[in-house]
Amino acid sequence: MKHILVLIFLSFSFLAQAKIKVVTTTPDLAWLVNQIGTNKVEVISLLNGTEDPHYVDAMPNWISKVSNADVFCFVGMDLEVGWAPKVLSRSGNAKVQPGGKGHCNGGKTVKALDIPKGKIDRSMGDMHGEGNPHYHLGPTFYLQAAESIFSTLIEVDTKNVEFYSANLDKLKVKISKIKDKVAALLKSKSGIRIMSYHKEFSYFFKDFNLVSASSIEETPGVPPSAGRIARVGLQAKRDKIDLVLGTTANPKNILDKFNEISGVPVAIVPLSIKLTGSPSNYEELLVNLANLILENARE
Amino acid sequence: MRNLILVTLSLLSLPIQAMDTSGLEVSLSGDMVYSQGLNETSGANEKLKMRGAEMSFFAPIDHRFDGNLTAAAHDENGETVFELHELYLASTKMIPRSRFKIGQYFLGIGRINHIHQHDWPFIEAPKVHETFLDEEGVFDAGVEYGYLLPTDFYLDLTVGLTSGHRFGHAHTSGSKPLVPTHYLKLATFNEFSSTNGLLFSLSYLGRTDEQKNQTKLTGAEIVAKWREGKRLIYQIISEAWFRTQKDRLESVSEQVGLYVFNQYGFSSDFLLGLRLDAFKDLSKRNAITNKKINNIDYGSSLELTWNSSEFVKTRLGLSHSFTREEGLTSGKDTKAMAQFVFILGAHPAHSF
Repeated sequence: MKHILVLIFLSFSFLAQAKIKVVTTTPDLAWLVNQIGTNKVEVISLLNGTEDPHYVDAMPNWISKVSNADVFCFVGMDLEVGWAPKVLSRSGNAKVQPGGKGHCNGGKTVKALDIPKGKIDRSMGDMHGEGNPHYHLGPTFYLQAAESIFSTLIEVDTKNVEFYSANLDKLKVKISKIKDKVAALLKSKSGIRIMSYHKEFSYFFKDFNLVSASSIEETPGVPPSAGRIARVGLQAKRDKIDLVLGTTANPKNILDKFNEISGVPVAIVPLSIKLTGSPSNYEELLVNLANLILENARE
Repeated sequence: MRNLILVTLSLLSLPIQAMDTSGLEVSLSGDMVYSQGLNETSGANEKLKMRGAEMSFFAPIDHRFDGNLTAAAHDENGETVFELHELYLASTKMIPRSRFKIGQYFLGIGRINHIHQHDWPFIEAPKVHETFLDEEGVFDAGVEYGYLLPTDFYLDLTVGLTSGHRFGHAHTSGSKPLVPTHYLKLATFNEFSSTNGLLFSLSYLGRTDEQKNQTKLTGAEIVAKWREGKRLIYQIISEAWFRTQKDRLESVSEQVGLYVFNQYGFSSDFLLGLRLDAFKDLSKRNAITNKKINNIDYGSSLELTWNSSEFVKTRLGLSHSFTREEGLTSGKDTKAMAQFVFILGAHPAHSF
């Protein structure tokens, strides 16, 4: 009897220490969850930060990971629409599927940019009807997504509301400092005009008062034709655009061709925090991005 | 069937607002195939065939259940036949790590049987699939249950039981079998990186019809993919199947077949695929001498796919197949093919 009581006691103490298992789609969301949950969460990111989250397959090993999760956090705004619904349904985990307490849509609380106006259809390319999903590059908007994560964590772990709330407050301060640091770095480049290959940097431009001067892509998700590259390249040359931002997921040959036609410098920047290597946290991600702009933009 | 068309059209005419609030998603697909014979014995029909026009409706029914209705019109010998492919109620939220569906659906065995034909990575069914599981795939009414085993690695078990009144493509109601169609599939996965990996599965299906003809099918599937961003760099898909049939006189026949499909993506839009097929009837005998006949069917097809987007595919193919018996070629079919596939509306997320 004594042994049984000891076992019961140990089981309860184990349960009391059990961490909330959170699976996120991107390392950027994983970083946010870690900041709010700290030692009360165990976080796994499905992507490692080098992939293009628009275009991945629903990997079966992800289904196993999601089947054990208490919370599933995703970027939303249709970024993962091609694969996340399949991973969720195949997991058989009601807690994290739509309607479940652990279903955490980061984009739900973000005041989205680039929301298309009027009727949209597929002739317009890969349009995101709810807005641009790359909000993590704008600290203000990234913090808005943190609200969704906070709401989900307090729903799943009601005993630790104050703990998560205090961490959210600390996160606000931390992100504010990061924003100030990056703004200070970019101060000398205020007002420069930057193009991008795809509209990944809208939130970054908005938060740091940089002028977005269109994108090389004419139709989102569709590689531009040779004619489009030439037209937009010549226009960039005439307009004296200061810089073009691309990511490792963008086609390098197109960026090179654009640079050849326009003479506008091209900077390839990381789009996401990486699970291994640099950038390993949010500050590093934004500081790297700012430094690459400083190093490459025309004087 | 006319009623089904009317219901379909009525659903399509629902106001958009109503669709949004119910979460109803509608997907329409068109699949057109042209084949041109390149030798005298080719079976190519040399016309643009409307192979399939499919309508799918799917949505959550409530907080627990999902519903799916898929109907398709096919060109069968010049006549357009409209048939119900799938109509099922499903849930992935009621039992932990589990999913089930009740109704009519494509059986969850092998690789391509449960993938709609317009989503296949090649134009025509491999010989082994066509012979064992029909040109398009086997669908039936019953129940399918899937369970993700609580292991550190991916291990997924699917079991199913369907009426078995008919098996494969038929326009009759069939007859009650002695043993209904029952099947299982066990799948596992090895991750190479966050976007690359290898899926392996084993399948089994059994059924005994009213005339005591017993069928047993055993199969293995391999799928490996290497992807970089939008570009599928390389994938290999292969299935091998072995069939044993025993009739009421205890006479046994056995056949075996496989296909291996390799596909290389030059870019995110253009892919070149090569499929090799082999099929052997292990029980074929000479009608006069009753001696076993050494026989084999080979096939190969080279296909170039252009994906204008995820929703439009154009495919050009060249295929050659031949049958050999006792060292002699008894049949040859060489043909060129073109396929045009498009999808309107929603499209469910893709599996690996």
